[in-house]
Parts: sequence; C-alpha cells; structure tokens
Amino acid sequence: MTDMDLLLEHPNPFRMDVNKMQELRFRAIQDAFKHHYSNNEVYRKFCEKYNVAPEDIKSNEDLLYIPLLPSDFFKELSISQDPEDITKVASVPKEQILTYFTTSGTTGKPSKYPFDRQSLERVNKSNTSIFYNVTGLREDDYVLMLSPSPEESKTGLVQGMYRALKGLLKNDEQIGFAIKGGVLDEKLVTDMISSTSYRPRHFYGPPFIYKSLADYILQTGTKVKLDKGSKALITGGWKRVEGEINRNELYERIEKAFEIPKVDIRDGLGLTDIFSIIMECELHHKHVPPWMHVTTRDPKDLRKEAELGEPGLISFMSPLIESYPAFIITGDMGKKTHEEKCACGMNGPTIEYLRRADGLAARGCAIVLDAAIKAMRTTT
Amino acid sequence: MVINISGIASYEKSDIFPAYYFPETSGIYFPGISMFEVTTRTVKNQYGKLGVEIPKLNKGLIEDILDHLNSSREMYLKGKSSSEILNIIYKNMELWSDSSYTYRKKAEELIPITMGFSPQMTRRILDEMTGGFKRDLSKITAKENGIEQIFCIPPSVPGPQVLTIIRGLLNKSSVFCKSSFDDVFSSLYARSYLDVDERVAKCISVVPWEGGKPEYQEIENFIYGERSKKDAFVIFGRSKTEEAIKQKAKPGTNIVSFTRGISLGVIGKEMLTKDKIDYVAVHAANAVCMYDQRDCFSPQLYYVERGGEISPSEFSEILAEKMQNLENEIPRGELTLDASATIAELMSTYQLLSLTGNLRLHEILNNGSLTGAVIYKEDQKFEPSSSYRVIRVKPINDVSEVPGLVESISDSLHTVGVALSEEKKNKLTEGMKNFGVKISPINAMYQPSILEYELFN
Repeated sequence: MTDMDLLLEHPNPFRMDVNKMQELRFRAIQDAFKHHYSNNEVYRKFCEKYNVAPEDIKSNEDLLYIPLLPSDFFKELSISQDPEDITKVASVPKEQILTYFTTSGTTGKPSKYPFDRQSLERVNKSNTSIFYNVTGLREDDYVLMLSPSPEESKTGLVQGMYRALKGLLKNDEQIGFAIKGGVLDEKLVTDMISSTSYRPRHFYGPPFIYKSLADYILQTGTKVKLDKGSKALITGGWKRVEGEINRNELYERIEKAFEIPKVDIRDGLGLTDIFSIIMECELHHKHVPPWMHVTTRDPKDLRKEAELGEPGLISFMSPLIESYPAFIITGDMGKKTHEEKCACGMNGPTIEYLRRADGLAARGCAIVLDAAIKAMRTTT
Repeated sequence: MVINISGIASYEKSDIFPAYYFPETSGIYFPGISMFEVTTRTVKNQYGKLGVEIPKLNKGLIEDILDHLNSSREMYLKGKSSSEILNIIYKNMELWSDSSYTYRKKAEELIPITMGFSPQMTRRILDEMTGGFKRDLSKITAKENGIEQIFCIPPSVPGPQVLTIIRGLLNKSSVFCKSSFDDVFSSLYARSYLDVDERVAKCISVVPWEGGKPEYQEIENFIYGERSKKDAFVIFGRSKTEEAIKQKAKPGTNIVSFTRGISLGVIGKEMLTKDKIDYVAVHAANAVCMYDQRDCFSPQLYYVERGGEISPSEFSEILAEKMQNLENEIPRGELTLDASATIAELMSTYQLLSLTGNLRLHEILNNGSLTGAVIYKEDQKFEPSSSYRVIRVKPINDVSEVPGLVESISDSLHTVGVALSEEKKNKLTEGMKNFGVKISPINAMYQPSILEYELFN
C-alpha cells in the first residue's frame, strides 16, 4: 500500500496520531511531486525556474518550496482558443484522461480540470470520508442536494458531492436534487423532503438556495420539521447573498425554517481546483483532511507560511490527483485556526476563509481587473 | 483623549500625524471648533511606522466645520481678487518645490509609510507635481461660478486633492476634503496654506472617515444628503463613497465625477526606429512606473503597430529594459497584503502561461523579487492590467484598429498616450471623438494638469 492509500484507507483518519499523519502526508506529497515533476513538462520548467527539484524536498518544512499553480492559470488555459491548451497542464497521457470537470464559473470564466480514473476514485473516496467523519453522514441518511443533478451540471459542486454521496449512501433514491431544468421549485423541494422515508434528512447547497427555500417556508407557513441529527451543509456562494443577508442571519433563518439547530448548520470551504471540500465540525472549525496539506502563505513571500491565526493566501496540496499538479495557490485569504488538535477531538489543522484578496483598486484611481472586466461585460 | 487643535510645529518631530485638518478657530469673529476627541491608528510597513490621528466624528462637529468653512469663505476668500488667490497658491506651490520645506520633508517621510510609494517615487511625484502645477498656474485663468463649497473625495494618491483645492480656491469656494485613514498627505497639503495665508487656510478642511461604515451613516446622510445648489461634489475614482453620494444626494446636486480610470498607449511603426526607440520606450516605461501605475492616467496596455524597424515583440523587450532601469532608480513601493496576494497569483499565472507558450513574459526584478512585468501577447483584445507596474503589449496592424478594440470600455477610458505621426494622431483622435477621452503625447500622459481639471463649465 502507498502512503496515500494508508491515509485514505485509515479507519479513523481524522483522529490518527498527529505525527503519523504528518509523516504519511509528507511522503504522499513527496511522491506526488516526483510524479508531476517527471511527467509534466510545463510544471517541471516552472519548478526549474524556482530551482526546486524532488531531491530538495526532504522534510515537512520543505513542502513550502514546492511551486504552486495559481487557480487563474487553469482559468486562462480553459478559455484559450486552442482546445489543446488545457492538456498542457496534464501529468498523465491524454488517453488516460477520463473527463474534464469544470468550476461553476460564477465570475464568467469556468475552469476545466482533467481527471483520470484513479484520481477520480481517490477524490470521491476522500470526499466520502470527509462527509462521514467530519459531518457525520451515514449510509441510511437522505441528502437533498440544492443543485441540479449531475446529468444537468458538470460543476465540481454537483459532481463531487454526488460521487461522494454515492460512495456513502446505500441507494440512489437517498439523493434528491432541488433544481430541475434550471428552476428551483420550492414546493416540490418541501414535498420531496417530506415524502422520503430515509432518516435523518440533510440538505447540501449554496447559501442563496437556502435563503430562497427558507424564505418560502417562512412566508407560506409550510411545516418542514426535520429529524434529530439533520444537517444543513453549506458550500460556496456566499458572495451571491452579500449585502442581502449575513452568515448569522442566514443561520437563524435556516434554524427557524427547518428547525435545524446551529450546531448542525455546517459551512464548507470548497477547494474547487481539486474538487474537494473542507467541512466544519460541530464547533464550526473547518477540518483539513489528513491527506491534504493546507497552508496560508505570506502574500509577500509565498515560500513562507503565515503565522497561526494571521491572514495569508490559502494554498493546498493534494496527493490524491495524478492527472494534474494539485498544488494550488488560490486568490483567497484565510487563516489557520488550529495547527494540530481541535476541541472537537479531531486532529490536524483547521482553517477559516476570510475573503477574496482584493487589494488592487483600493489604493489609487486606476480601474483595474475586476472593475474593468465588469465595465467590459456591461458593454459587450 | 480630548485635545485642543494645535499648530503643525508640534508634529514636526513626532511619530504621530493627524489625517485631519480643521483650521484653528480661536478668532473673535465666530464660534469655532475648539475641542474634539481623536484616536490613533498605527500604520507600518518597510518604510516605517506612524500613528495616524483620526478625529471622532459626530454630526455636530461636521456642522461646525461646514459653518466655519462658509464663514471663512465669506470673510476671507470672497473679497480677494483672482490674482491675489493665484499668488497665494503659487507661493504655496513654490514652497512645495523646495525639498527643505517642512511640509514637503514631512510628506517625503510619511507618504511612503501611509500610501506605500517608495521614498524615491515620492520625491519624483512631488517634483513632477509641483513643477507641472507651477507651469500650469502661470497659464490659468480663474472663473467663478457661484459654487460656494466643494466636497472633494480624492483617492489615496497625491495629486487629486491638490488639484481640487487649487481649483476650489480659484473659484472662491471653500473645500471640504474627505480623506481616508491611509492618507495624511491631504492634511499636510491643506495645513501648508498656513504658511502662505492663514486666512485662506481657514477655507480648507480635511476630514477622514471610512466611507460606507454603519458608524458614519448619520454623518454621510448629512454631508451627502443635505447639500444645496451652492455646493458641489468632486469625486475621483469609483468607490463606495461615489455610490453613497449618488444615492443620498438630492436631485440636482452638483456632482463632478472623475471616474474614468483606464488608460492605454498607442505606438506607431514610424516611432519604432533605431534612433527613436530609446525615447519612446523610456517615456512608455515612465508612464507605467509613475505612481506605480495606480493612477487613472497610468497605461494598462500598449498597442504597438507592426511593420516598423522594431517589431512589437522587440518593443516589449526594450520596454522591459527601461522599466528595469526605472526599478533600479525609483523602485516600486510596498504593496498592501491583499495587493501582494493578487499580484503573487497573477505573476505565477503569467510565468506559467509563458511556459505553455501562451504569452511572452519579461520580468522586472528587485533583489530577486518580481516587482513588475511586461506581458506580450499576439491577440489584440483589450485586457486590463493589475496595476503595480504590470503592462501588456499587443500588436496591431494599423492605429485605425484601436477605436474598435476599446469601444466596449470607452466610458471608462481616461487617457490614450500616443507616440504617433501627426497624421496618425489625427486619425486616432477622429476615431475616438465620441469616447470623451484625452489623447496625450506619451511623454506627458503621466503629468496631471490643473488646466485639464476644469471642475465646472
């Protein structure tokens, strides 16, 4: 068994010994780095530019030297006129690529990521483990995804969660989808959740759909009483409700509409570039799975990690994926809230998302990037 | 802490400086603003540390300030002739041209800490600004239009507040300048009028607060929502403040918006010869690097004509050399944490895209760190830059293509800097006649002019 498999197959991965966890993770990432360095010409050249080779990665601290690919790089290749461009990021032969997943592209430019079979299976297994171990979902539960079905959407949010649930739940009928043909029918949703016999029943989806559903339930006086242990799992999309409702207000509305206590309303941090999610425990701390290396980097020197509790750029390394280097630097600011142990009993670091880094326009009168792109969109 | 308003001298050697300026009002003519509370906020970066004093605002204090500005205007400014006012402004600008002048020295010390420009860039900005403004003052003709009080909302760079105060005084208007917590320059500049005419200095106030925050709602409702036709807002850049003003202002309120913030350059093949290239590239580099490309007149892209002795791709390389020289001479300043984050992500993206062959990247370095870049891409689509000395170069076949390429952003276009023959310049001007854009020689695009900032027609 590889170190990666030892981690992924561990019966209680979030509670394994911290030192053992670090040791296995380090070796898994070291192997993954060797693989991408050897099989991906573009990535190797990028590493050479920074004078880093596999033999330089000898300890956990050295992981900070592994060059990271920015999320935007995938975006730029995905929108390129040349469809072959996206294959330049692959670390496996073209014929091994099974599918391309996309991000939701809420900013107008969806990104594509190539997946081979093994990477896909590992990612699914990882997500299943996260929902089982961190959020406590079990095989007899019912999950209503507040999204289209995987046939209607290729986004990571839908595909990733669906595949994770398939690995966890006994039957297909334990998964429902709230959006059909692009339409959210609130009445149908409340009927679906009331008619299933599986217990407990959970929701999974973005904040704006929760808001819409909760508003419908509260306005119409529809009675939706869920079960002990029912959870509202939230993923992404906070930007869409910005200015309309804040986190506390949404939690209160969900609590009131679905009678789900706040302890069971769990937010997730979607790592869209690697089709993974980091979920909250009952203490609302987002737990990094043992096989991932998540750091917050000093934006002024990406080879340095921000201090515990201090803001930095969220970066993650996932050895689960062989089809492209899943060593990513995001444009999001976050902070680590624990390094080794959370009061909930689980081990490993926890992380908190702070905001999208947006410091360019603030210190002058030039219109840059986002504002200009918006200006271009409104006129084209 | 409750303090009495004190003179500037007490701050000369202090590591604290006020981001506000309310003129001293202990005169006998009218009740003034004598006591108010301040808090101190620490800002620090590689250039130093400063305690920025921020006043605790309330509606009563703002009313006092506005009353005071009105009275001062009536008593001191209204009766002065245009040439007297011009003389005062000129004297003030002469003081600022002198690098040993107290306020100038203080500005050179504090701008790097608060606004993040390098000390070399700060000196260059102040030199260019004072030199240019002095030249402009010799040509200016003052006009009055009945506006009594101007509310200025400048961005956090030196220049726009100076332009507005000068234009305001020439118009015989008092000026209320809303500054931010990272801008002590506005306060410094306003205070410097104490050295030329204490009474005129009473016609200016600088008041910092964080626009849009709930704790300032009452004040914003009052300032933005209760103005008369004798007042006017002058807004620079697009911000929450601009949105708030437009939302709260009464219908018919005078609002002058300088919200166009995208500039670009166009270089003709006739300028891409061995004897001209140095001149063109040096000025093109200057335009990018001045103000660390944070200003509305900073180019974000150069369209370069094919068919010259030097190709567009070669031009991008020469431009990078000149930008590297400027980096050694006037280094890029310090980025905020968020700007560093965004730039780091962008630079890695460009590096990777150069490895995939999607673009050519020329890096500008300082002690091994990336401090800027020239990105050459073959396509012609207009793409904005990230600021902080990152410029794109794209080839065109003929200048006549440019209007069509930027039509979609014509409402946001500020300046088009050109290195073109007269004939081509005229052709471009004609093509952009409906865009409301300034066409400037490339060597002048980074020099703001008072003459161009006519606030009111």
